[in-house]
Amino acid sequence: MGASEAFASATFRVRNPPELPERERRDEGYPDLSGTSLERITEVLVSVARGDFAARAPRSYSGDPWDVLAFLVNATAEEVDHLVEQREQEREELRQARDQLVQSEKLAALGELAGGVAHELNQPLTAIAVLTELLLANPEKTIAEQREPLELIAVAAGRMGRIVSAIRMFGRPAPLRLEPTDVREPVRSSLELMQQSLDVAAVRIQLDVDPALPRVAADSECLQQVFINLLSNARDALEEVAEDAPRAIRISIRRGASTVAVAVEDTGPGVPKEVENRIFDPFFTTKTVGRGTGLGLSICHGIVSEHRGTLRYGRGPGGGPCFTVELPLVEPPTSAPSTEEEERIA
Amino acid sequence: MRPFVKRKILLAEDDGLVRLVTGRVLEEFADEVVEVATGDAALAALCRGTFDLLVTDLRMPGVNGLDVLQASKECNENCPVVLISGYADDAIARRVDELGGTLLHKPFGARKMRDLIADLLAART
Repeated sequence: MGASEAFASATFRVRNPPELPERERRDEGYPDLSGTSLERITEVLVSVARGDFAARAPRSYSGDPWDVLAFLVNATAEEVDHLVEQREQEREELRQARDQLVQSEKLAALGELAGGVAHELNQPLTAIAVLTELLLANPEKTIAEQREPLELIAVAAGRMGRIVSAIRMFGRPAPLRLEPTDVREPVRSSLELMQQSLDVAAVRIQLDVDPALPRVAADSECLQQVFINLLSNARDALEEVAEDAPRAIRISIRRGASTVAVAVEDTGPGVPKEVENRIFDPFFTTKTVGRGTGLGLSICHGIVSEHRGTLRYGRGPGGGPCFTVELPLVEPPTSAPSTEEEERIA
Repeated sequence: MRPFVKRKILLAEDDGLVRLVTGRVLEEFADEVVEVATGDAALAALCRGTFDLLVTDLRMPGVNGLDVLQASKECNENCPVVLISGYADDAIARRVDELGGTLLHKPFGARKMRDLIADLLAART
């Protein structure tokens, strides 16, 4: 590129210099700088403007104005070069600091998890330790006579087992198997599994489902676990309400623009406002000791996030406390309209 | 070891299983074990009667074990207080010590608990 062209492009549009034809350029009256000191200096400035900060203009060291200008241009390029290097270094430091922060947050979460596990396991472990010593102190007694402490040990061991399997789910490394899924399927299977205990708690189920539901990308088994968890939480909450108060869970499944949303709303008191932002934290629970591990919602949140969906808590359509699982639709096929579309066309 | 006078122990523990089991051990030392599940209930019980020993969990919803310990010492300085805890750090341990309580770390066995309680009751009488 000649100096005048460089000059023109530098003047007008540095990032994307227009390629002007020779004649047009001359017609617009740009001076011809070929072979001059100005050409060399301009070339350096253009290089700098394009991001090459290593370019330097040759010096004559004569001290004439061109030499002074070349010196100043070089000094400017050098300073810019230095600043850019400094910025890159700062950026790198920032990236490292951010990585460290993420790492320390992970460690903090791990520490919290470990602390919670220790506390939860300590309770039944203490019970077992005390009970076994009580049993050993009476070797002459028969198993039938020692039935109660033995049963309590079994209860404690069962509790420890539940904590361990909850943790296993929490750290579940196996990836989800996402398949086109009718979300009604895991909802139905979770209701079936919960039927007995919902009946015992005298909880009524209302279903409100959009007739034409597109499929979502989901792992049906994992979603079933999510819905079982939401249903059992709702049931536990409803067991606490007054005898004559309504005990109902309303499940509504609605189609959104690019999602399907499953809302599980109950007629219970809901989560106290002051702990609302903690309900998805591992080991946070409002249930009585021994009733919940505090991992359920945390695990649900993880599962739904892995589906690229969201799990939110808020008020439902009926004004009651409500958990909403929103899941993305299966990518629409590029050719051939889906069955839903066909149905709509027909 | 049977006490000459009627002995009463207060047990505050929110975990039903741990309460049942530790209550079983305490029964060996008392004519009456009053079991409560919250710190509030423990405070209420302390107001109503005099106890020879108080055993309380440290971590309870609402009023915690330290509050119960303090309240107990205020109304009956001579009543030994055992704090059961699975996770007492140094600051809590110091606080328990200052208030005149004794820490019992979870998990513990029956023997350890028996020995501690026997010592505390012996030192008292």
